[in-house]
Amino acid sequence: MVIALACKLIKQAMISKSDIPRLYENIYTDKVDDFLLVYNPVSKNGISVLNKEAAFLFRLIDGKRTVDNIFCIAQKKDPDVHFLDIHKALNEFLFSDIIFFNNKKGFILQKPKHLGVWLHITNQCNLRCTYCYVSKTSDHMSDEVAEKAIDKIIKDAKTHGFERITIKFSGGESLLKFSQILHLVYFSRRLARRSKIEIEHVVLTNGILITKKIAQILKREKLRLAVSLDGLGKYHNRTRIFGNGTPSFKYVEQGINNLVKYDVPFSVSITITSKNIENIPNLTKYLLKKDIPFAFNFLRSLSPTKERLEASNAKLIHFLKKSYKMLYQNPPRYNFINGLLDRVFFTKPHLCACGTGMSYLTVNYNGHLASCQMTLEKSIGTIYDRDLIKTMRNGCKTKDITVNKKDPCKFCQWKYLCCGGCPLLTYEQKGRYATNSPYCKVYKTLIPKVLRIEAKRLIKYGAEM
Amino acid sequence: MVNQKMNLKNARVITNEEVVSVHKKSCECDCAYASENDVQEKRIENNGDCACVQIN
Repeated sequence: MVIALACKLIKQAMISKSDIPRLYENIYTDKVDDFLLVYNPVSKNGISVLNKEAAFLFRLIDGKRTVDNIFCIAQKKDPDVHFLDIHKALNEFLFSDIIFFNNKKGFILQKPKHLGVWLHITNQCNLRCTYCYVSKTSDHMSDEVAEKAIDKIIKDAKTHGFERITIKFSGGESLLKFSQILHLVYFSRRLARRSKIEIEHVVLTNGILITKKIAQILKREKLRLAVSLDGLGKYHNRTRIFGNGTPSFKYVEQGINNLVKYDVPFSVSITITSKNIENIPNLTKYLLKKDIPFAFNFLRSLSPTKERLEASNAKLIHFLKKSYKMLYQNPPRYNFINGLLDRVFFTKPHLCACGTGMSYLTVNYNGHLASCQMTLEKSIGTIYDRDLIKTMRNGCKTKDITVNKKDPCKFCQWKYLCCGGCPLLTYEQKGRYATNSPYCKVYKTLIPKVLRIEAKRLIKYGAEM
Repeated sequence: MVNQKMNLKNARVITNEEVVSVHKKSCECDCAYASENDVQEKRIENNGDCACVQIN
């Protein structure tokens, strides 16, 4: 209570009676229970939920009425209301970015301060998932290459004004190189401390090798994980199998149980394909019951030679709606809105679907750099280049194709949320970058549903005050 | 409906900030429950009540 009150006390704008409050263009509203959901897609403040009194005042805002006009109407509704009450409510609207007075907040593209680095430490994997984009070999990243990469990335990131780096250990299966991960975590923390740059690490894993001992070490070292789980039992096993064809679900489940037992922070990454789509609602139920955070990803296959495993748009909509229904009825407390729809970010208006070319870099096991983990084989330079950030910027073909250059995206109210989706997938399926995602219909149908889930979460946990 | 009385003093906006405040009040942890600047959210310490990890 104290924190919230302090925040609200600090946020006081000077509002005079003659001022005219206005609504942002593309403001989205929906009724959820007795509340009004209000969402400004160009704000990073996320969604706001107004109780019925606030909703009454909000609906009086038409870009013509002054604050005094609104106060007079409010007095008819509630003779006991004071001007200060109206002032306070309008202030809350203002700081939630759902109204503006004279100065409309524009879309501000901030220079990225957070660099994501995908460190591909091994090509080896204990699984042979049917949709994997990595060609498995026995190659590993040597300590020498890894240290050079980390050292150079920290230095160059610092030079270019980045304040924070997330290193994602990936493969193949990254936990096959667990001792190297630990070495590189210590190494990079030391360098980052010296360079006064914040660093964090995420281990991307299939979960098979998470023993109790590894879980305890992960906890001790405050490492986070993203574990791939695509379904329950046979649905997971349809695509995620060992080299000899043996199913992997029971091992992954054991790994997840170990993480839960030792209280290791992790989330589940779900890749949705035509093979598991019908099980997504049950998987959602399972993860909700265990209180495990998760994120839905749609398969993005770039290989024309492989079997097409993307789920159809109709099925994605149908089954995700079922999952969303469960989430709507019982939303978890944590903020999970950005994981509910592949490549859609609700709290960070942006111009490109991902950070490729701007704030994201992949390092292959041999020290070659790539713009994206899905184009590992397409080298844009090496860790021995003079300036890795420049290599990153110069090596990306798609970074200048913002959503405002895409047809028909530029006219869409949700354009700053999905930005037209993954450009590589769009190119692969449509032959050009400057157009909408093959998943466009899914995004347009499901974005309002996700907003309703977030509203329910805010009502459930925010209304406790 | 139109003439139904309302207590407009109670007008209230709920945002994620409130949820974070409620969480911090009950949890007392140092958790970045909802990162302001990035979609990546992190959990620094877990106190039983916060599972705020969102990794993409």
